[in-house]
Amino acid sequence: MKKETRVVCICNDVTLEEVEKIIHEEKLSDLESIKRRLRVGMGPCGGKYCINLILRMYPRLLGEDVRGKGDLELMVPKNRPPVKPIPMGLFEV
Amino acid sequence: MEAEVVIVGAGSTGLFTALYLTELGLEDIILVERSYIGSGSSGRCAGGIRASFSSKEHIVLMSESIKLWRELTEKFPEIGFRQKGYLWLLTREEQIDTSKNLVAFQNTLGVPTRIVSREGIEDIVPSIDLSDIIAGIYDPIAGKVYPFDVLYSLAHILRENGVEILTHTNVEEIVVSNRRAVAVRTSRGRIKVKGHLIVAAGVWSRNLLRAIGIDLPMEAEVHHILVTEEVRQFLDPLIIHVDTGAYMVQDPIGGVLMGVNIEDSYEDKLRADFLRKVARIWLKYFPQLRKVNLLRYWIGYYEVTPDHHPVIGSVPEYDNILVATGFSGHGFMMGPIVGLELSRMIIGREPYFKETKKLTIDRFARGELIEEKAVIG
Repeated sequence: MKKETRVVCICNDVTLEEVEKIIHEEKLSDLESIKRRLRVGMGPCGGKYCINLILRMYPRLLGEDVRGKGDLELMVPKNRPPVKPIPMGLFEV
Repeated sequence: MEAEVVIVGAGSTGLFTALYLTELGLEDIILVERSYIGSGSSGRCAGGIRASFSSKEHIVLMSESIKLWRELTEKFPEIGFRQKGYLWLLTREEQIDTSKNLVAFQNTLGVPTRIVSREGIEDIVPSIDLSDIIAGIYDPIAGKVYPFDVLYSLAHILRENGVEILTHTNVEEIVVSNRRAVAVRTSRGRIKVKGHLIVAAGVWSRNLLRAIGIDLPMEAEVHHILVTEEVRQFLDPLIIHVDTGAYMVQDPIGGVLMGVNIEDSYEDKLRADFLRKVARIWLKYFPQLRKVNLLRYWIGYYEVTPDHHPVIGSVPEYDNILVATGFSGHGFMMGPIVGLELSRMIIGREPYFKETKKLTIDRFARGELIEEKAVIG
């Protein structure tokens, strides 16, 4: 069981501590990478909740050692369609 | 900034090359990536890995690549290669004859593919509705990975070893002088090349090379792919509908990836006809997926050469530039063997395989093309 349970991504069950760990131990500081490494924003919500949540906490999450690497890391990841999951059967017709 | 080896592109090719260089004790490496790691074609692929091709070059090199995928997974479990096979589904009689020849050829090169009956298909994929499928080809040594697990674990291993990976840094120009690449000019400054420069930038390689007088006959083809929401594991192999070239594979998380080639797909735009085509093909054989939700749809590029084979190795115009691109849809799976061979070339040794030597860029000028027919998706 996870020791800390501050969940930031409810679709894929990712905690805030996992995000912090990735930023500091694996030196992945851009949201596009954090998304793909932890699957934050890759669940059914498409990032509508989790990515915004992480974005708001971002300056604090980055801390001293990775701060000032430029504004590019702050790019919000691309949202892939569909906006809302739809059954595959709808495309068969 | 400066490095012994500068690699343009942090995708499968660049990362595996850096990994094998570090195994040779060379760690003064900088990878320069225009966006995030794997943002080109590597992170957009379905993660299928196979040696069941139609050309000797692909079969030999991919057989070796599969050995390396297994070896790497033993060493770094997070790479996660799962040898679950490929199953090619045949729907027309004439496909069986062609397949028998192909299987016989693959068998002579050590790839143990075999023709399977309808019943044999049901044993491998019990959840399938056979419908018009009359037989199949099963490739038991093929397999699959989750691309981002591979890419990010490689990046982590490399960074732990002191390799620098600069993301969101665009290489704007290769600076050349006296038959040598001396530096790359990037959006974040100049990086001096002390030893070799490796161009492994997928479709973006062509313009970079053209600017220094290297003409690479390579086109970017847009390919479409989707993934469903997570469902219980029901599909071991990657399956291919031979008639249409459509494929389907279940990732380790449970999502089902599907792709098929569509007509006139040159622009990077999403297309409703892709969704219709891929759904019509696969829901016929897996009606239980009708109620499963589509989660994401994206596009990626195949960087396609005239003979569907990559360009690997040195270029006649320069002494310290190595190129590895043009994989025509197979770059991710070839990553380990290409990385191993490039690392050999960097230290001035011959590549391990004569098939690698046949893939140099000058084959186009000499007219010595190699053909690959088994291109899917």
